[in-house]
Amino acid sequence: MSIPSLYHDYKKYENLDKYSDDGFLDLSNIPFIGPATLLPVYLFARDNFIKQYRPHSNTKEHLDKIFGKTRGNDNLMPLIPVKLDSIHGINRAVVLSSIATKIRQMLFPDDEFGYLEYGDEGFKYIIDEILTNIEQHSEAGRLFTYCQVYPRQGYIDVGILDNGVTIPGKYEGCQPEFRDKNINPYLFENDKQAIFKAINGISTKDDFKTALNGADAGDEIDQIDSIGHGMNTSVRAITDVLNGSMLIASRGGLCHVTPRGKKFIPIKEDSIVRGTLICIRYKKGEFDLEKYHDCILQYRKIDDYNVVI
Amino acid sequence: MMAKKEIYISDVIHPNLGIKSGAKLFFDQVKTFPQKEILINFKGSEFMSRSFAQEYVKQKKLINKKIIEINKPDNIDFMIEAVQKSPAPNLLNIVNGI
Repeated sequence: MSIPSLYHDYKKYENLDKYSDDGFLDLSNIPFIGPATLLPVYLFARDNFIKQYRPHSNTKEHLDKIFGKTRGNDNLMPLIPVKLDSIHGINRAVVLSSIATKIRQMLFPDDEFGYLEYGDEGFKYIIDEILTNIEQHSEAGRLFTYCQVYPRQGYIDVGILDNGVTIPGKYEGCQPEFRDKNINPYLFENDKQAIFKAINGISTKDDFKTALNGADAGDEIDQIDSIGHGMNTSVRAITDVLNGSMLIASRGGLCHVTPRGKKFIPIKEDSIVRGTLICIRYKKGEFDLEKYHDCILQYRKIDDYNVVI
Repeated sequence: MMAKKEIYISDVIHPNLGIKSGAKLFFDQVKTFPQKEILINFKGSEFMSRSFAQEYVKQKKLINKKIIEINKPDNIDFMIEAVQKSPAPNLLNIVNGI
């Protein structure tokens, strides 16, 4: 059985009848459910106080496991909600690091010696960058993760969702600071363009803003850590090194990157993600450490071919 | 007073040194030690993310103490080197989408 694309999975959420009269969320026409479908559905249900769902017969048992109603198995990490707004200081870093470790241990149970050949190093890099971005920029009160291994096909799915200010929302918050400057990097035409900027290094870090103010005044820029390397190198690591794909949905924009190309797509009005969803899908295989090192050492612009803005 | 203080970073933060704020919080703790020389022992540390490494390098530069690192795994050493040696990209090109 071939695995459909992450975007295909996400579309199941978009195509869902979200406003039925009986108080149930109807998932009965979804025979296969992965993180790219379930996490936005879950957030939608949570935000709209929908507590019941009608599953497809194929997914009933699976959903019970995901929601922890029944015991799961080694190929599934149930949906974990994390109350970020009640964890502070070093505990926050510890909790997020523990989540990264938990995900890794489920996906790479035998990593003691052979982890590099399965891409663990690259995988850890990407997961930690995603979690750091949530911690540093999202202002999220909640974070949700759910992971799945498909052993027969050899695929891995990881989904991480936060209910924070979103990428476009964060940029909007930064726009006033640069209103009177020659360059305002936080302006965007639509939400998908905001995601395009985020994966191409436009950071909301203070260091980035300081460097930009210096550039505006004609200074040489020498800060090596001022650019949003994390998102840029993570997207390239997943597609160019791990040969996988990534889906980023934030408010009204969606970006789907695969080794074959990148698509930037608007999200339907009734399916706006009130947060940021990041899903990763890749197949365990050979891991080229040299290529990985080359990838993370340098920022490289992600091509905008196939971009529909 | 002991001249040197040894601290296991994985015990203070986590074996997975992934979350950026962890580096700042670690050095906040290091600052409270009266010793002028700090021995950071990486025994038990498995991984360091780029964000953590960036903050680690920054905080190490800012602290007014001598930092000695031991038992640093190769992958962590690489990441610290990577953030120190990555070429500075042209910021204006990035902003202008070039």
